[in-house]
Amino acid sequence: MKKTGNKWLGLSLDLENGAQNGHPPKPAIPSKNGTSDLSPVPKKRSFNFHQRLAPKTVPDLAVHSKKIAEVEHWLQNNVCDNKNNSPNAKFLLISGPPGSGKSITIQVLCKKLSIDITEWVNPLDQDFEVCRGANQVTRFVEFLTESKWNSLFSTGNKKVILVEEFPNTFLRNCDEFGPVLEECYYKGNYPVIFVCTDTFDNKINLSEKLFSEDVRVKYKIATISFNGCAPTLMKSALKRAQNLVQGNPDLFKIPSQSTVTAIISTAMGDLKCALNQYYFAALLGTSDLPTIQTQKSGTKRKRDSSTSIQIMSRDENLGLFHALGRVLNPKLGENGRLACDFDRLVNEFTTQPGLFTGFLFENYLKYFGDLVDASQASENLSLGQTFLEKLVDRHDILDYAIWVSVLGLMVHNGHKVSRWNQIKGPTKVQKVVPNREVPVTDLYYYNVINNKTNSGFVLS
Amino acid sequence: MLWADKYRPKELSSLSYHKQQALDLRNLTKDGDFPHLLVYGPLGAGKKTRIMCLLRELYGPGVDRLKVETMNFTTPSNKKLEISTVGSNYHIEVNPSDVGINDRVVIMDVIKNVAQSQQLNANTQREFKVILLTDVDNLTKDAQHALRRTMEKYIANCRIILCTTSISRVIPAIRSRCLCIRVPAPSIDDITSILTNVAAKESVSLPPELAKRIAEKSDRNLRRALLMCEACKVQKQGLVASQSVSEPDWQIFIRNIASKIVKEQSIATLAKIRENLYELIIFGIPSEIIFNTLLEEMLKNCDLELGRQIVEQAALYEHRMAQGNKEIFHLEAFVAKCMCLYQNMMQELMACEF
Repeated sequence: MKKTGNKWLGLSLDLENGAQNGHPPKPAIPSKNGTSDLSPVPKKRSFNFHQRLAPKTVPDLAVHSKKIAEVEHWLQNNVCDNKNNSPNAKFLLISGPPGSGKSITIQVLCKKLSIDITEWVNPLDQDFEVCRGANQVTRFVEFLTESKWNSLFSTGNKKVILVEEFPNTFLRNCDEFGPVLEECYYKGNYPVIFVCTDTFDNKINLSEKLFSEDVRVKYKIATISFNGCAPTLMKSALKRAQNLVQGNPDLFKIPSQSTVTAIISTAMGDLKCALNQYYFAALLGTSDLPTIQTQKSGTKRKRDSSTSIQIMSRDENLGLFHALGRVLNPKLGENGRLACDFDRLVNEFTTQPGLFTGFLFENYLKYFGDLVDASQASENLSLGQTFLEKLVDRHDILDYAIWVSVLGLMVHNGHKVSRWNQIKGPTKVQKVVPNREVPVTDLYYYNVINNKTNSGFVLS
Repeated sequence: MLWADKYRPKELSSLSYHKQQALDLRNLTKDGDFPHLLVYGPLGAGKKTRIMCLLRELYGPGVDRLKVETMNFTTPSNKKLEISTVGSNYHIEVNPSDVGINDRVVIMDVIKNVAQSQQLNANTQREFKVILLTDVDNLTKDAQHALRRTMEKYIANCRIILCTTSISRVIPAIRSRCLCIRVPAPSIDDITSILTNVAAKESVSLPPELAKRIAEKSDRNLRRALLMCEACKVQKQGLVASQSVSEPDWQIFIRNIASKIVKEQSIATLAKIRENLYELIIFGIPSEIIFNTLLEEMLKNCDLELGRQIVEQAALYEHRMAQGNKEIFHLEAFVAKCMCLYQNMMQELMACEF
């Protein structure tokens, strides 16, 4: 139920020694993708690819070094030097898309700083819950606030609590989470790290639902959000995998370079997915596997033309720049109507309407060929902006802002300019902190009186 | 020291205009207590002067011993903020909008800090301290709601004075919790007589024509009038009746923007104007002033019918701008609209001629 130290890996029988006796092979892939059923592979010996590949040291992590530093900084400040601060428990929320290396970063860093991890795992014995009454939430609180599960092998007294799974009841009523945090905030002895996987569906997006802005402020929850694994980092991770594969020629063959590039482009930042695919591509073939592999890589090369028959790749999601391109360069369908899946486009960005409209505003002018069009579009952007400014936390209104801006830009762009333009990020307005004595509007006279010619404001 | 600071009245009784209001303020503090105040009025009307006079009435000369302090805050996301405050033993003055969107943290922390420390000797001093928040209209909505809650909670230990140019951006909940005091701009005659007085005290001769002209040019902004007067003196080593009064540089800058709109109506100009507007905003000119000046300059170039249309549009976008804090969206929409209207008019004129 509760376990200490590194995560257990299913029924991991690492039979490297016993494998010679011709044991029936164990597919060592987590059955997450449902693919392990597809491989009734007679293997020579079992080989825990993922365990062998898991990074053990910081340089091996396929995470941006700044993110690692950020997490390490937090750990050092809040776990290692715990003397100078308040009695309240510390919280850290790590969020990011699946397969971006959130969990492994924590594990590796904690190992480096010799911090013990105690992880919450949802209890499986539902019967117990029914008979004895103590429900999941109570036990969750108990787990967070009390510290009776110390590891027998613990090296020091530094410890963090890791929560990757949340009791299911919070999914149904997220209001219950508030009191839990509150109790834990005042009673808890150890820092708590929450790990949340981002999803694009708002209904199950834990990091938004459970940790709303108010909650984060109230309990001083530090937030670090991971990005998807960058292609270069993924490449180096696959390189490590390749070294491992090379060391075991009796089990694996080295996949071709084109397959590797195809894997990287299909994975869309999901390292876990990429490694699974690589593992499959590298397995020395039985009758089943190679066919899957060829079919897979075949579709991957054609990824741009059709995305329908991918077996193991993830759903395609629209990148920011992709979406901006669609809005700024609207395509007309056959019947003269706009050809675009608005619903999907808008849904992708409902979590950050301000950012998206900011991008649109910064760049739309370059795509307009006519002043009247541009004026109407800017009118729509300005209208959309008023929706954003209202102090509402209702999602619908924020949605309207995107709808108005997106449709306004697309409908009014009658004379579009089709050429390549560099997309610029929204301009950050950093106001000069004004002089206390004189307001900015009168600064000119102040400078005249003091014979300062340089007013800081350039007349161009 | 600037004339504007040097001759700032220190007592409610020595104020030179709005005498009835000064009397009212005096009566307000007679019992040694007052409610939260919301003081509003145009720039350079004397809001701050009146507030300081009021505090002096209440606490005595101790409020003049000012010290500048830098306060540090940490946002929940671990961002470090720094803000400078001016205060005496009895009051503290903060401009929370200096830290932009993180103003909520500042407001909550400052008020909590002040409210938690009790005055040592409540018999000789007042039992409350005063927090003076300036530029309240620039606060985010978030901060205003935070202010609303804290205002009620800590009324026992502190009084809050809010100072703002316009109350349209202050949420009604705050307005209703305060006594609103409007400080209107001084009349041109008031300004002229003050200028003459100050010049006399400085023993500089100020020709009455020049005084009148400065007063008219100053937009009924007393501080600007005094600064203008002093600047004129510096420029010419004395004051001459015929000398010109220069305009501030940003005003000329906005005039240039207006003439660009009139000169060429195209996407490229629009993009260039956007850059200019960003410059103005970054320099710190309040967006309402940008908008108003731009509108005035535009109207100088328009005939009656076009002017009517432009004013109509201006009203729409100004209203939108007042609701939010992304001014550039609305400013640009207004500029684009002006360009279109102007272009239309020109085309109609051309069509009439042929």
